[in-house]
Amino acid sequence: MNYEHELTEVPLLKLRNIHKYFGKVHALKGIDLDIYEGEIIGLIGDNGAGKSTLTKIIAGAIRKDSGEIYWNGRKVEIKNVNDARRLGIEVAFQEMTLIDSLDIGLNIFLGREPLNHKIRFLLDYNKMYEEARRILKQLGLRTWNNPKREVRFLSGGEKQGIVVARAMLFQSKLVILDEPTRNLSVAGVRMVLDFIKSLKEKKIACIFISHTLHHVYEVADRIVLLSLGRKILDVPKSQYTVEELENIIIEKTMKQDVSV
Amino acid sequence: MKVKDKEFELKQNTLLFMLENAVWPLFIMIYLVLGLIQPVIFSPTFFTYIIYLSIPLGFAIIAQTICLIGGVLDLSTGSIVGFSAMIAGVMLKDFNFVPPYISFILPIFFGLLCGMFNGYFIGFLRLNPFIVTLATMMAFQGLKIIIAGGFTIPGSYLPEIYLFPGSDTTFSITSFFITILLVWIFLRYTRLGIHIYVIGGSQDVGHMMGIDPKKMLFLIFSLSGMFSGLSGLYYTGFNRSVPITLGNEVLFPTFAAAIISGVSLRGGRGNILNVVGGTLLLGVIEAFLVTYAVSPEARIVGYGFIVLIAVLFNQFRDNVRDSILRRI
Ligand SMILES: Nc1ncnc2c1ncn2[C@@H]1O[C@H](COP(=O)(O)OP(=O)(O)OP(=O)(O)O)[C@@H](O)[C@H]1O
Ligand SMILES: [Mg+2]
Repeated sequence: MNYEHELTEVPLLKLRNIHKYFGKVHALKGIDLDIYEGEIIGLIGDNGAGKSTLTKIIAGAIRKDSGEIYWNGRKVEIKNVNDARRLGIEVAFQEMTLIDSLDIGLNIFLGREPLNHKIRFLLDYNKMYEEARRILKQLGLRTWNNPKREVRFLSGGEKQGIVVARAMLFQSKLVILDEPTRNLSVAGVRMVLDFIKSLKEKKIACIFISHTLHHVYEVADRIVLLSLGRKILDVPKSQYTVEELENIIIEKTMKQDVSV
Repeated sequence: MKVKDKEFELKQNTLLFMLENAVWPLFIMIYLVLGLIQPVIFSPTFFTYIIYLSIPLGFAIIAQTICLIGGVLDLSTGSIVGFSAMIAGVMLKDFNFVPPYISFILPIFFGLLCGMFNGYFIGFLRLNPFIVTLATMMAFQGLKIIIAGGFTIPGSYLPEIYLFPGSDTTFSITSFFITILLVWIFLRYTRLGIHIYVIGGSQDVGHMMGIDPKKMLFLIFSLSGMFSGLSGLYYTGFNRSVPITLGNEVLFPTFAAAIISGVSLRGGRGNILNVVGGTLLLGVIEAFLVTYAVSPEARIVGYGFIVLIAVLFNQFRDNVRDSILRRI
């Protein structure tokens, strides 16, 4: 879909030759990636392939060692999470960044707590709980009726729901979801996939990471496969069936394993 | 059926409220028990005295509470109390370039400086808070003795206005409660305050959500130092002198009071308003011991046990509270 515009349009996010080392581990070995407005990228790959590392670099949670990042064609340095947020990048990390001892409302707004419009330095708890309620309800999450509940009493899936709700609330130009369907029930998975589709309608781009190819296939415009820190496949979904893709992934991954 | 559910819920909420604020009934209980042994405690003037007596330590407890909420501890609290009071005292005694009406800023300023020193090593150089504050605990303690030249500074060498905050009962008590209220607003109703809870919960999560643990740790220890300095000011006024031993017996009670008030040692939890309860609780015990002229050594032993009991009490309370909340 968007793929056809590639030559004429400027990508929203363009990564060039991204490298990342963790000590001796070469986690990313020169990644190139283009993402266009409203495009959904399904990012897949084995455990340890480098998916989360790549998203954390885009999110400003860790720094790349070399390479360039362009936002709307302009070269940018993303030094921290707030830089990324300013550009319009919203991330739901794989680690489910929640504080157990704080309540649901505060957790959704972590680092971006709403301020009272009269006394500018005080928090507006009413607004916070109202918004939390609204967004949780919209996603059909049971937790909506008690936004003052401490997060540590929630189940794994309920916590994951909070993380998705946060991404939904702060969505702006690019939403990155790192394994958002993990732990979720059938209904929960449906909720996440519908959310991703709704992003597309709003022309918001999305990187969706999952180990379930069927989920990725359902919503993605393009499938990107990482293996051992390299991008070894980047294809528009429309050219393949799920089965064909599955075979390609297995074949490519095996070849890569042999060559290393 | 419906009515029963409502009743049950009300009962549970009451129980939760009691548990979260358990330090208050505990304080009243201990007050009553000690009062039965030593009836003088019940007299209104003595009660006022108990509050007044708790205030200097109360400021140091605020310092420790902020650290514990931020998931760290400050072993240098007592040493900063003594050092900041001593250096301010020496400056006011030996040099007269500080106008008396701003003299009370001195200990606060030096306390803040000490705290920033801790905060720099812990926050920006990422050194272990336990080791850093253990080191500065000894360093500030030694410095206090060196600059004192081995002597107590009598109150007669200090400006009266400097002694006023800690020596005037009404001012001392009122200013403490106002401070508590301001700290409560800061911790619960400002972004920076809430971020202290966040960092106390998890530094990694804070980092990934755009809250810089380095800056927050620096802030936490700076605040801790500042309130320790304030404590030094109030101790000076309370004693009407700067004894060479000032601050020596502060560290342990700060832990005891914070923990018994429900501040979690795991970080990220605690209500500063309840810390008033813990402060008064220690005040009653202290006053009781004073009336019996118990030796300082025996008091230290007592504080050791109080800390242990406080930890046990806290654990028990948290377990009960969790088991109720889980069911809701
Ligand atoms: N903070 C870190 N310190 C050291 N090594 C790391 C760190 N984070 C990631 N790595 C390493 O980098 C490589 C890529 O990890 P990454 O988390 O990006 O994989 P992933 O594709 O997200 O895997 P998964 O599907 O299991 O989430 C792995 O070899 C991992 O061990
Ligand atoms: Mg990952």
